[in-house]
Amino acid sequence: MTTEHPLAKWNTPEIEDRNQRILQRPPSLKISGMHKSFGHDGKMVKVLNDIDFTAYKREFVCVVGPSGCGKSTLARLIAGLETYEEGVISINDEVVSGPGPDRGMVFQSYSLFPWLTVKKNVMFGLVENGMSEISAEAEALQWIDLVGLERFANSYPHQLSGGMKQRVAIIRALANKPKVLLMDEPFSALDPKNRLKMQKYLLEIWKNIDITIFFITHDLEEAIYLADRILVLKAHPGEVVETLNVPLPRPRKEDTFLSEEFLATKAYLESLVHSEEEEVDMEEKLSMVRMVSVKSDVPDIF
Amino acid sequence: MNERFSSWASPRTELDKTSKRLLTAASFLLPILLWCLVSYSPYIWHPQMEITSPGQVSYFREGSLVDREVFEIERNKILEKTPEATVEQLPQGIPSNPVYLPAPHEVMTAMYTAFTTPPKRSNEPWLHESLLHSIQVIAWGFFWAMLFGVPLGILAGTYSSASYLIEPFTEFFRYLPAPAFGALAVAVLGIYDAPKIAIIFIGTFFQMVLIVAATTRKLNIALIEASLTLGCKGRRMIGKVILPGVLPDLYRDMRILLGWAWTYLIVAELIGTSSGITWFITQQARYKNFDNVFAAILMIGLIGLITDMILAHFGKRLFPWHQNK
Ligand SMILES: Nc1ncnc2c1ncn2[C@@H]1O[C@H](COP(=O)(O)OP(=O)(O)O)[C@@H](O)[C@H]1O
Ligand SMILES: [Mg+2]
Repeated sequence: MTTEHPLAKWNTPEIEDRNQRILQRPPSLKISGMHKSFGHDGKMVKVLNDIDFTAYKREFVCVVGPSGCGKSTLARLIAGLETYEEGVISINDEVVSGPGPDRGMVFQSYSLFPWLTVKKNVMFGLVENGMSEISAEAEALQWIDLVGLERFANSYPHQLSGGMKQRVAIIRALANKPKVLLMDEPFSALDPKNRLKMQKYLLEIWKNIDITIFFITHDLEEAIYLADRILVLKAHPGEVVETLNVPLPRPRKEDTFLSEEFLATKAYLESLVHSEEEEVDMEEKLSMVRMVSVKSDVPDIF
Repeated sequence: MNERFSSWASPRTELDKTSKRLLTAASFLLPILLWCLVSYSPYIWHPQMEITSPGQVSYFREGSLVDREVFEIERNKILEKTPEATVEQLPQGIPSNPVYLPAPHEVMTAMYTAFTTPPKRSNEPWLHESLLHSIQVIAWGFFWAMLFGVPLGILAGTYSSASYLIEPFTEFFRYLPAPAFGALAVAVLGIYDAPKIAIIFIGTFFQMVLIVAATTRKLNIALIEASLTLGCKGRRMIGKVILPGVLPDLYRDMRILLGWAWTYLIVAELIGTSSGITWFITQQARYKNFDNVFAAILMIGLIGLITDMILAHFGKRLFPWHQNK
């Protein structure tokens, strides 16, 4: 017996059709039968258990899950920064081993090279992959134009705001023309206003170039706003709970955040993720606070 | 004003400009003040008497220093024999400090006169020649230590394999006191500058390897991983990411280590034929010219401090991207 998915009623034929078309595209990133453990005091602790997932060409995938469920580890595995014991990761049907220019990565912490100017940062990957300095510079400047940082081309990273730094990090990764862009909570250090701005930027860039985005976040709203599909993980060990089609039309607008389908999706995701997160018994703690007598000029705040 | 003082007593609080200047000045002025007090106020220490007139004491000489106790005993002896002794019969003197504690003004004068006084013998170096010689020994010793220490340290900080190969022995060797190799260095390298340079080298090289390795290891791993995902591989990474990434910290390490190199100088210069500023100091101490001795010691301190300030200044210009000074 199959019960209807709680979000089924939001999947309009239009959205359904678009999702079907995505699934018919050639696979871009394919993870199958992936296991990953870390050694802790001689014991192996399983972090990712039998992950199967396929992202299709030019798809925007977000990954959510409770903290510690292995989201970062998954991104690092795809990037080739970690080794895995079992399974296969392939990009465009080529098996991945070690880091490579087909996968770009944007990290949570600012990882621009502080000793290089914005321009040189963007040129870094191009030059490393054999482009001449002159053409690399021309190309870098184009990217810098694209994100509106012309005035900062010769600034050092420490002179930029957090949002600008992440914009440079994104174009630095994109300049290499990767097939897949991996992003590990790239906007989590930004304030809400800047974050929204960056999300719009990212969607704009994604629309215009041939790239599959694998975006990790713990912000459910961010995931819903950005993603075609959301990969929901659970912890201990990290496993796929569900791959959720986001029932929102594209292009996404700002008022999307207030729409009914958005709130329904958020509530549903919350129920998936938070049932996982360990609930501390706050009630007990609070009752202890009540026992502390308050001697104050304002005896009651209500 | 009260706010200022409260900021002095709160942990890890940035001070205002005036406070900073005030305290920096005080850091030098307080020890100097103490020195002045001890030198110019006869009531604080002055354990000796400078004889101004020997009176009836046969072995007292005008201008010589005797302990106060001895002076009192001799005076009382005369008073016992002839209670109505006149001023001429009694020894006279003024309280003074021992010869090894010259007063500030004497040392200040010596800072200048030490340079203008010709050496006792014509084949001996002038003070500026001695100082230059010392600086050369330090520079060479430090140069050789850097030439080998920095690359080895960076290797050890980058590759675990290099770390296991290099660091255990270095860790052991750095506990061996550099001066202990003095005799050996002379036997192998002769009596002139080579063994001195070797002592400076031994004193700094092993520390340098370990410190550079630790500094290299502190480089944000995200930078290395970012460069990996951008296609930077293998040995190229040392030149493109690791070296530029640690350069400002490396520069700071070198400044600290250069300070250590100075501390090995005195021992190094005693090895073989005594030379440089150490030779000057021992020579002047032998003649009991302690004002010159103090002046020479101060000069070492000043050279060290000034070099470090110059290097710090250049550091700011060399690494404009480096924020936390
Ligand atoms: N290098 C490592 N060594 C050992 N354990 C690790 C390492 N990296 C991550 N882990 C563990 O793997 C789990 C998942 O971590 P991570 O992927 O960072 O989670 P998330 O990004 O979802 O918060 C955590 O329990 C963490 O302690
Ligand atoms: Mg994480």
